[in-house]
Amino acid sequence: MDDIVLQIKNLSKSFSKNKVLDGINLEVKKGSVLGLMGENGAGKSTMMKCLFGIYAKDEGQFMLCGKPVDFKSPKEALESGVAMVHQELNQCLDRSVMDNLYLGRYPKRFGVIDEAKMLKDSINLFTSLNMNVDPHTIMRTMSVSQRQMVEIAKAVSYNAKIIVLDEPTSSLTENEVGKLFSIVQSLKKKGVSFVYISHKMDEVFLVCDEVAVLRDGKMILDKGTKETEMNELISAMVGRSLEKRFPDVDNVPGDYVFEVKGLATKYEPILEDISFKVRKGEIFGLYGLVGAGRSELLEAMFGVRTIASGEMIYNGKKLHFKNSRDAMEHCFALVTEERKFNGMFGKASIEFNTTITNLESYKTNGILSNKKLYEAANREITTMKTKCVSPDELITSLSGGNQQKVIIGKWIEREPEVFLMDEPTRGIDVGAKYEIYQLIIQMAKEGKTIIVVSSEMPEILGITNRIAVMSNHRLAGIVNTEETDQEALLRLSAKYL
Amino acid sequence: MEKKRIDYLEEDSKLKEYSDKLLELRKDGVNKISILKQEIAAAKRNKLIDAAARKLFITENQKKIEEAKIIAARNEKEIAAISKEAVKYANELAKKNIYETAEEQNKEIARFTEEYNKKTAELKAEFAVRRTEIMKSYEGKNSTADHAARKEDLRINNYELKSSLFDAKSKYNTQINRAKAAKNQTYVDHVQKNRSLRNGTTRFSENVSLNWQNYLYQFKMSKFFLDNGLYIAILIFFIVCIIIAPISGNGQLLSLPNIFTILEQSSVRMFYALGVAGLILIAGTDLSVGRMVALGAVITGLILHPGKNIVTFLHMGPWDFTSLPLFGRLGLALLLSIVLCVAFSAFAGFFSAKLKIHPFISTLATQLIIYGLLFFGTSGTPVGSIDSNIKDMIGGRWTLGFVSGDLVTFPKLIIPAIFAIFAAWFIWNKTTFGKNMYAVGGNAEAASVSGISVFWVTMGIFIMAGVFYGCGAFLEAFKANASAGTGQGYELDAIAACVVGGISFNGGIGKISGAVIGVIIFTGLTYCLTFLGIDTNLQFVFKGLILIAAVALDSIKYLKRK
Repeated sequence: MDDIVLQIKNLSKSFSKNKVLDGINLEVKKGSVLGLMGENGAGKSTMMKCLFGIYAKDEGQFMLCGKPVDFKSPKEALESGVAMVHQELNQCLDRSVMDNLYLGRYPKRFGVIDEAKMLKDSINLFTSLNMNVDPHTIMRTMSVSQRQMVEIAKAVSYNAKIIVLDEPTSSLTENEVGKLFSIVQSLKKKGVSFVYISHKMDEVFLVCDEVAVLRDGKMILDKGTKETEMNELISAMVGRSLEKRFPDVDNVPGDYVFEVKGLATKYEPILEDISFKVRKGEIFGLYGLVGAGRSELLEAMFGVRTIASGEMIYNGKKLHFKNSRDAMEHCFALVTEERKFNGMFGKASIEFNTTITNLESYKTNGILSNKKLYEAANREITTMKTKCVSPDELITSLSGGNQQKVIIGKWIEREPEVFLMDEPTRGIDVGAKYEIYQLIIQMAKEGKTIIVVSSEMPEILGITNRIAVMSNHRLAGIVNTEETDQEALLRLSAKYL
Repeated sequence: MEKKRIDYLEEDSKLKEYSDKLLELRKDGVNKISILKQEIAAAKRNKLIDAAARKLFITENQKKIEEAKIIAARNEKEIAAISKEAVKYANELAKKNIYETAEEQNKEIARFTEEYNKKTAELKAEFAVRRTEIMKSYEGKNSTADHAARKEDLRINNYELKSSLFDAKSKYNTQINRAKAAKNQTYVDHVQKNRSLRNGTTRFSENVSLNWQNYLYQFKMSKFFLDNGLYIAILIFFIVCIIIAPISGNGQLLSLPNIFTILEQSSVRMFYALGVAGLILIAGTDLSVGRMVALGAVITGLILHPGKNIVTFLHMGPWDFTSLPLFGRLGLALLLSIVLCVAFSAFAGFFSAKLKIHPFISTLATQLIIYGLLFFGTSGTPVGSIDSNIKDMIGGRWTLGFVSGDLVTFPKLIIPAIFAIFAAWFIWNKTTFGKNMYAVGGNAEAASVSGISVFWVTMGIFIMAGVFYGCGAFLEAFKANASAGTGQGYELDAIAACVVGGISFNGGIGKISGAVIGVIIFTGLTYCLTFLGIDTNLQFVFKGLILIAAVALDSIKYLKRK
């Protein structure tokens, strides 16, 4: 048992009725890299959050080097030698590298922070890792990949026995990915273990010793990378053959009906010269790396972000939205990226969430009619096949997928012509994803124009007619979905980096 | 082997026949009309199509509506008859469903409980055995290191026991919850089936029984105390007061005249609470209520004073309004009171709505400004009493007669309060503005993406509050001689009343009924304490304690348990 640094026994976690983790068993050996794969919503992040004490597990045990542990916070985990490098880094961008490294544990001398020691320790740390970083640099001035390196260095400085890397290469260039791998290798030799969470199979095969696949909360596969191959991994992740993951995209787009010309936003992040044309009844994908500006583009189109120059034309009519209400009255709809933040009203019922954008339609003689409100809620519950007990239920008692259905249903009530969707299937279980894909295709067949932002390569290749790729706040190119592939999209998304 | 239970409501073929027939009859009639009306409403809102196309679409739809109306009239009687029959039949099926599911699930629950108890006993026994083994393995080893090692082993053993017990309990709880949910679902299905048969109309009795059923389903002792603990405590407090009252020598507390007096005192305070409730709903507050009361009351007092005023305002006046007709004076006083309160409220509201300054700060500012203006203007002198005729007309009482020896009178001030409560309830629940209030209070970001103007909703809430304060201040003048110091501290009572009544400081949650209950509780509390002869300053202690208890209980509900 000596060579197992982390053991997860029978881990289970449910959110209301949604069982996210179901009896997970996992082992990480000392000095090895375990790849953790699975689709969005399979339970990878939840598993890590349970380990780090951010969520309370329902069932199960964690063992670190043979001893049972139960971390109540990431800090406690870190101090015990379990570190995590997040996909979205939590760093104090206005402070220097060494300030961030020693955040919360500044070396002191006679009660005062010992900057000299901090500097010396930082330099030693970076040298030992073969990293070329000046500890005085202000974090904000560094690139995302460099900041990630600092984060890894920080974990090492805590004498981490095991480091979890969450989608470490999503914002890195090829060069930087190589650097990351060499650091991982050198740390491996020193006995540090890694859990490498990623979508990218090529990388997993390159850098991981073992790979585990999660699907719908269950551990499906757990093997050495040398003993498995890509097809096996894919079928483990997806559970059904790739073709059945997406419904047939059989909508027939009509003529060009909507055009964006030379759009630029006024305030940060500044988008420049975005131009494209969309057809009626088309599903238009919008791809790009994190931070490319896709959400901001949708917000600008919906009137929620100030436009500096450029114009939008629908059916020959020039559009200029002052606010979201303006956009809505012109039959636009926007499903936002983070429903908890600005997509749903968490303190309210399903009925409230379904009807709030369309209240004028539920009035009798100028007064809101409970009957009409209820009808509308039921109508959308039926259309979207939302799983709930009744429309009076609080929306927070639904699973993520059903919450998203309610939000989409809210917009459908208004019968929009242009439907903007920002990561509509993020954080949703596989079954609900399929239903939403079906809905999107159905709406396109009815003549609506749909613009879908997605970070998931299979998804954007699976349900769109054409794809526009954004790179660093500019439009890198537009391709036909049938004529493109993963590499082409990735190349375009790195065009202006 | 478990038999798969039939869901009568879903699988019964006769019921399906009924549903299909009703659908068929309604399709081209009532349902079509409703769809066409929706389309007209949507077209009116749609700015993408031009006016001519819109007009054409609407006229066409209206023609179709006329056609559909004919069909609807034709089918009306048949639909009513079939629907009645169908509901009766469905009720029978539902009853069967409910009964059988309950039987089945109760059996399951008994089984789960037995399993759980057995498992717990097993675990405890197993770990007890392990413990003895550990103790045995350390027999004879007495060094400090050995002691430490043994302690560590015992600790791990205990931890694993606790962990396993916890796992077993979680599993048990999940099983129980699932069984309860299955039972509850049958009630919900029953009501929903009837609803769909009746094409969306609900029966009041069904609603009541469903809500009661839901309540039972979700009832947990701990939750009950969390939600209602405060009210229980206050109830106990009142009961204690009622018992002590005769001893203090002031007579019976629980008498009709006393109750009416409490209601009378609540009536004017009600306005302030109704006004500030809107602000608390959007996670704000209002510190200027008290001073606005003074503002309105002073104006009213000046205008309704019999004869020439004693007081000058900012070296203007003194005025004599007695020459104006009575209703003119009343109207003028009410109007000015409202206008001034709205002006100051809108002033604070603008800064909060536009610059996102927390209402605490903006209303603190207006509080100070009004205070300064009033005291400087009137030098603190009271404006004198209102003409006693007018005073009695609005603030007096109607004699009802004698009840068990006491003269019972009905306070007139209750009437405006009832109107105010109704108006507030209507705005909060039956208007777009009201729903938008909840949206902005619940999640302002989501509201602004959903087409709601957070600026105008915020301004609207401040202005509405101003109107309520203005009305309340007007009535305040009928209770006592107004001066610049009138209403001092009223905001605390108003806010406390709302919070105690369940309007959450976090925003987005609360009802008018809550504010009303809160006001009555607080007024009743003050009255009881005064009745028992407790010093007014001590009363603040009680109010403070109740306030912190209410907010604490409210916050516990939302504290994230992860």
